[in-house]
Amino acid sequence: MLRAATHFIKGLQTGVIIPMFPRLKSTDDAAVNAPTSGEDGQTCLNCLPHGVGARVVGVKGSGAVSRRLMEMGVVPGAPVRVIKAAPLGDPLEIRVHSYHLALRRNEAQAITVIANDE
Amino acid sequence: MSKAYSASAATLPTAATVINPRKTLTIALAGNPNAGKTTLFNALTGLRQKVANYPGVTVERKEGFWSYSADAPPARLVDLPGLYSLDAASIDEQIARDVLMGRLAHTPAPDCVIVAVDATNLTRNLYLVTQLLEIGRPLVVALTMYDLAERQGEAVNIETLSDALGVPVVPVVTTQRRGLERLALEVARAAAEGASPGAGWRLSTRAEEEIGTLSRSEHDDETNARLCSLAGARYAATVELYSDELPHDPARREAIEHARARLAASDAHWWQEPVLARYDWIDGVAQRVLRRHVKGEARVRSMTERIDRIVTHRVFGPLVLLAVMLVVFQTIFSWAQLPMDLIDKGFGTLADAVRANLPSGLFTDLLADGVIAGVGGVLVFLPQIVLLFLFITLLEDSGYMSRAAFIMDRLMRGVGLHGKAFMPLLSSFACAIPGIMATRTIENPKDRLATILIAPFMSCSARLPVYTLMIAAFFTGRKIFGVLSVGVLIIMAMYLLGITVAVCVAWVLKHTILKSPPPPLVMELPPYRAPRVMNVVQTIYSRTSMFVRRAGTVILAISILLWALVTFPRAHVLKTTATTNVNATRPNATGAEETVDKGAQIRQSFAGRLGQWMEPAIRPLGFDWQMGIGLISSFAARETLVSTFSIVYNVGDDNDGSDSLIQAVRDAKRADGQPAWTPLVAVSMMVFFVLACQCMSTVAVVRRETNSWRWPLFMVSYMLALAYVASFITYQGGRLLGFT
Repeated sequence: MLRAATHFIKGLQTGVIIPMFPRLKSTDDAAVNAPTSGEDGQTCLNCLPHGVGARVVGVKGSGAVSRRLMEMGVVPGAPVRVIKAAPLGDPLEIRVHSYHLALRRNEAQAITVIANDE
Repeated sequence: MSKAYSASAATLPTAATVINPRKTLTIALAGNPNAGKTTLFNALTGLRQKVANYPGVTVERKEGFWSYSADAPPARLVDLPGLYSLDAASIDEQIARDVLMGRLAHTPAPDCVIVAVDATNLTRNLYLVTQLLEIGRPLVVALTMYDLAERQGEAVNIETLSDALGVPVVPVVTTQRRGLERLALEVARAAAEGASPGAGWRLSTRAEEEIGTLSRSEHDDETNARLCSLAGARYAATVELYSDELPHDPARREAIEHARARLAASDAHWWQEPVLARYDWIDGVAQRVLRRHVKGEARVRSMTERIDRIVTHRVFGPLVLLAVMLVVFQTIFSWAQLPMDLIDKGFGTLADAVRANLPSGLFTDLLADGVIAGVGGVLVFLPQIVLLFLFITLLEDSGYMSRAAFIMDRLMRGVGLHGKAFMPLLSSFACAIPGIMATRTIENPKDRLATILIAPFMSCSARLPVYTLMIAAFFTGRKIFGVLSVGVLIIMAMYLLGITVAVCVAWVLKHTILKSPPPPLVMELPPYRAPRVMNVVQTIYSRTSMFVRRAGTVILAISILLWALVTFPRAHVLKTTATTNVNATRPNATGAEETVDKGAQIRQSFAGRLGQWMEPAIRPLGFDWQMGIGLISSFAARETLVSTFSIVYNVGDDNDGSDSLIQAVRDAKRADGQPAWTPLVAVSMMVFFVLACQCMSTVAVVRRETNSWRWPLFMVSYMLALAYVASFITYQGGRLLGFT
């Protein structure tokens, strides 16, 4: 019973259970395919486990969103950390420099990060 | 280039010695959202401020007067919209840039710019400062939350910061009015000197060459002649080269496109260069300026995080949101009742006084029935609107509103909308007008338009009197399971109907005429802060006065028009009416005859004829010609339905008209003697009111916000069609199911 409920909540979060809200495709053309860690331990912000400190490597894409992200301080070298996901699994709350920012998984996917050695 | 500024005020000359005492300075106030800019603006100007729009666009223009020196006339302080960058992602940023560069008519280029910089979030706040330095206007930094940063364990070395930026940095604690005098002195001095250190960083040689070429050729351009400084021209060229928009001038456009192509050929990430260069420079500044204590570990931030552990929790978060909305609506509907009754009584008394003291005649009727009743009928919603604005301002200022958007974003995106659409739609429950105006925060024009087009489906407070009348007449005292009142359930159903239709319409719009990729969400979640009383009062005041102005203009005109429609042509041209009755218009005199007279008057009037003419069209919805008159008048504003019915059903103009109106509605008969109203007709009427766009002011606002008649006309027609169909289904379906 409890298990089923947990499963349901997980399903809600990933958008599996509610087909009305399918995962949306990326807004930025140049976004991102492989969620797996690439060379040098680089990964996308979307794939970073919650609470793990990391540094920004770069922002992919060239749209207005990428520019806005960079203007708001998501630039190479900036300290970043995923705090949590919203109740329905998306958007994410991240901490960059010393403030908190909400952004969708699509946008987070375009941000390449490297986890701090801890 | 950079110049050190002494941190001590003692070495500064007094304001009087450095400025021309006759000149009124123009000072612009810029800053990131949540950087304490509004608080600073209020502290400097007090209540001497006015809110208007920039001509042609709907960006709010807030201006006030600041007595910065006893010897000089007060300066004109222009509060720019809160922004992260000047790169014109939204119309707000574009306007701010134009103001700063002196490109707007009637707004001279500022003599000095004050930028509010949040010390707890220095790096990101300094980004805007770098752009302001590039523009080349005299600049003074007001460092806010300085004490907070210290308590959080991150001290800012002010002298070093001032040295690094090359402009004065004044720490201010607005609540204690600390630092404001020093700010005044620095501003006066900076304005008098008129100098700016300019940008302290450079792009790659290649990029610098392109900018150099572009800014030189731009110097001949007449429109940019006002950019007196070289720095300004350089900045303008940088903006043109790197922003998304292109200038209209074809030759210029070509030059820029070529420059971009050349840059792109050598570096695929060429467009990132200015942002990276600025942040590189900022990093250097921050390293010199910030001293981190080890022990004080982000106390305030951690408080915000603790609150967020509940407020954006995946289970509790939505519950908190629901509770907040319940409290808001409960308050609006219960607390507002007393002042609303008082206003209602007040206008009733006023109308009576006018009637008693002025000679009876057309003019007195116009004043009492047209002007006073019409304006009173709108002002009666003032308490509800003030309360709603109070809550919205509290939620915004405390930082909760962006959490609500954070929680709701996934659902809003399901129908193709932005999390930021949540707030405008919530405001629309009070009144669609502020709601529609609040859509300005949505950057993408298509998403903004979709939000505007569905905002009027939210049951606004103007629909309440209609619901209330219908419920009072036909559903009072009915209960389900002995506890749930049918009336409350019906009202809730009407709210839900509006929301459901809005969601469906949004989905359809976003998949047809407003098709666009799902909007991105990049939204700051600011730390929770206690709202400042002064800011809340100011916001409520400016938003409410907008509503009152509407009541004083549009509604007044419409009330007079409506009054004319039901008053002319005069009934005495009719043979059926005795001439003696027309003369006996004094209240309480020959009441019965007068009643007959008024009924005839309505039937005979333009409105009555229109109602009878359209009766075949509205018959399938269960409405007769008298309701038709109500519908026509309610297209001006929904709430006029009630006052129109009191005229149509000959309910006296006395104060306790509402009880008699309810009785009159119950007693109304059709030509065949059947009761005109049944519970089913009442529900059909409410459904019509949920969906139809019966509000001239909304149409006017949409016209202004979209800058064309196309969208308001589209909105009125599709909403009317929906309302007709839904009412038709309600009435005919209800009859098939055996309801009456």
